[in-house]
Amino acid sequence: MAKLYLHTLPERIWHGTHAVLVLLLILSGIQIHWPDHFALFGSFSSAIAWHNALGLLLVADFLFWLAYTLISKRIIHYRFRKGEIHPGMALQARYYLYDIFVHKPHPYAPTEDNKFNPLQKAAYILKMFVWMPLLLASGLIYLFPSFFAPLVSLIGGLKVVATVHYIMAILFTSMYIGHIYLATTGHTVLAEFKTVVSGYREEDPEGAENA
Amino acid sequence: MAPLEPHEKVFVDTEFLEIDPHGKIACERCHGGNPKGADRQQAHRGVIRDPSFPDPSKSCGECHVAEGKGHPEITKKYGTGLHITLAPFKNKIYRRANPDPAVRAKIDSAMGTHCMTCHSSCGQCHVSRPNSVGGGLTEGHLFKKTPPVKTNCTSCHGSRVGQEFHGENEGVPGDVHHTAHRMACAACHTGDEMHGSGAAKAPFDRYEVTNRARCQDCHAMPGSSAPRKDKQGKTLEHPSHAIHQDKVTCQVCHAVQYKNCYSCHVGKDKSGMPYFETAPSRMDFKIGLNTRKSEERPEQYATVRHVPVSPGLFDFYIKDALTGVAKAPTWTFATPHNIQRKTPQNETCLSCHGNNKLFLTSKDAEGWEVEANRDVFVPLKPAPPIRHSWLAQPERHLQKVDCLTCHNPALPSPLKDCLRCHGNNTILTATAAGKPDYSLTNWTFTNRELIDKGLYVVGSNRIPALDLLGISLILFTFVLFGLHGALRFIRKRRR
Repeated sequence: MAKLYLHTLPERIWHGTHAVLVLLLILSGIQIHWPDHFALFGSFSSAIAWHNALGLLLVADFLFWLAYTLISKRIIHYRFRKGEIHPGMALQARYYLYDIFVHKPHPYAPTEDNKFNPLQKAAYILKMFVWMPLLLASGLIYLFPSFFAPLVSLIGGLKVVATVHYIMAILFTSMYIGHIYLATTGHTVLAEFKTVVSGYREEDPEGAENA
Repeated sequence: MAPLEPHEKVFVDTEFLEIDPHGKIACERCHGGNPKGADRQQAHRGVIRDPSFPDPSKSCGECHVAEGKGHPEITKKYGTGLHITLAPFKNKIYRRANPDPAVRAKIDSAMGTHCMTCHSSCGQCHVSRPNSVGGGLTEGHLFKKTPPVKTNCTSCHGSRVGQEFHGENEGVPGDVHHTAHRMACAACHTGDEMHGSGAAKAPFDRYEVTNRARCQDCHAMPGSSAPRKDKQGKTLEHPSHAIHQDKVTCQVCHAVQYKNCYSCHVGKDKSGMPYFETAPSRMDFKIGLNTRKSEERPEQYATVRHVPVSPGLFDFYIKDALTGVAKAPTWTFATPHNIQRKTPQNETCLSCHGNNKLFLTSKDAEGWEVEANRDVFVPLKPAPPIRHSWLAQPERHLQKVDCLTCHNPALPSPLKDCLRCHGNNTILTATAAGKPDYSLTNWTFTNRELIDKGLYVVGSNRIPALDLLGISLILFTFVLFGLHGALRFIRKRRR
């Protein structure tokens, strides 16, 4: 069976760290938001301390990803190629909504220089270049309000910051769920999980797979 | 002040001859004249009405100059006293005056007719009323060590300072130093100040007199070790003094509305009598930037009073005399004399901060005055709720939190660390102070739990609708992908 090298070691380390950090941040955030219903991180103040520390790690994690992706030029994987926006996105959507159930082949099988399908690219660009900066920036402002006082004043106060942070948290939680589910749509349920651990992707012997 | 009858002006009391040391001196020694004259006309030939003006050295100075006798320092300093030099009039007009020498000569002539008649002298304070208000002996030629307030001080300084001090402006209380403590002018403005500073260089105006009255002479600021005149006086303990010290002058917080004068035109009537006209005065209170900053007057803000100057001041004598009206402000540094402990502007912090109508802006100046007052206008700051908008709920903080909690004078800068109040083991985490308004109180799954438990997260959004939307989105994601997965499973089984 042919193998494609899709994820470099730094990407795999980053991806794993990112997944753990985001999960823990979601859980500690839930406890901070509904302290009566969750106590995974101990007391309320303990949950805040965890959330703050994990949040700072996520900032470092994001900066690492950004620097690596730019320096290694692997940002090329996020670039839309000809025809990927139209009709590519519609074709990919059709695949998820219909073709996948009738076992038709994937319209955009990954390659070593173009590993994401059009909808993945759109989602990851939105997530990593819009939502993530918003989430992290709002979190940092929220964590150091006095340092960012003029900025907080400019954007309308901490409540605005808190609201933006919360909305981003909701969107990230939703995307996290979707991301894990879609990772099961490979040629086997665990195929994509293995890929993201080993870096190598086994091609679907029947040619009807997804990432 | 009621004018004196002619006989009152010249009546010499026998007490003057009996108890006043000056009564032992022969009249002609000071006033000149010829006591051996055969008749009244001969006897009064060469009589000097005010022997102390302009040069007192041949009268008062005869005695008050020798070391150890009288007050030698007085005659030494006499020439630097503003009551004699009237330097402020000249200085302030000259700053605005046309530099053309011919025009200057006309201005000097007009000032000599009008402004410069408002001088005083030893005699016009201690023996008689000033000539500028009609003169006349105050108490039968008895020398008064401290000049009487009404007949002397406020007979000249009456329309503004006098009325303010005595509470004669309708609806405006008098100065607390007068109403509560019965203090007269000389309690603050000592003889030493009145007799001049003795400085080699004449002061520009009264605010540059080195030995002038200062509030701090009696009222010690927190931490001050300077000697005070009132030994029983208390240090100004209110924290507001520490906060505002060197930032605003005392009058900014402790003066009330005062008189502002507008325009002035001088001239002569058909009979040659000099006169002046001013526009109606207005009661107002304005805080401007301090254009008289110095080491001992470092405040940024000061009360400012409109002075009665206008471009056409000397038009009767010469046109275009004041071509430089823009070179000196018409709203000038002022020390209104109606001090109160409590004033509208020191009622609360927000009585002043954000109360833009108190501050001088270009709206308070006529077109020709705008340039002149550019350095006095206060750049207005956004209202406190806007300046505090970085807080989660600025209005609520401003309503509920004492300003000094964050603007603590003991701290080098205002407190902006939210966790000092909202952190663990601080009062707000335990008491849930300032319960927020709920937009939708029937939805319980929100930050409300935090509030009800007394836990507080700075800036928590407290928008129940957002919780509903968020949870709905996550549930929808679960359901969507759950159905998708189930369908995939079914299709795979059938395959």
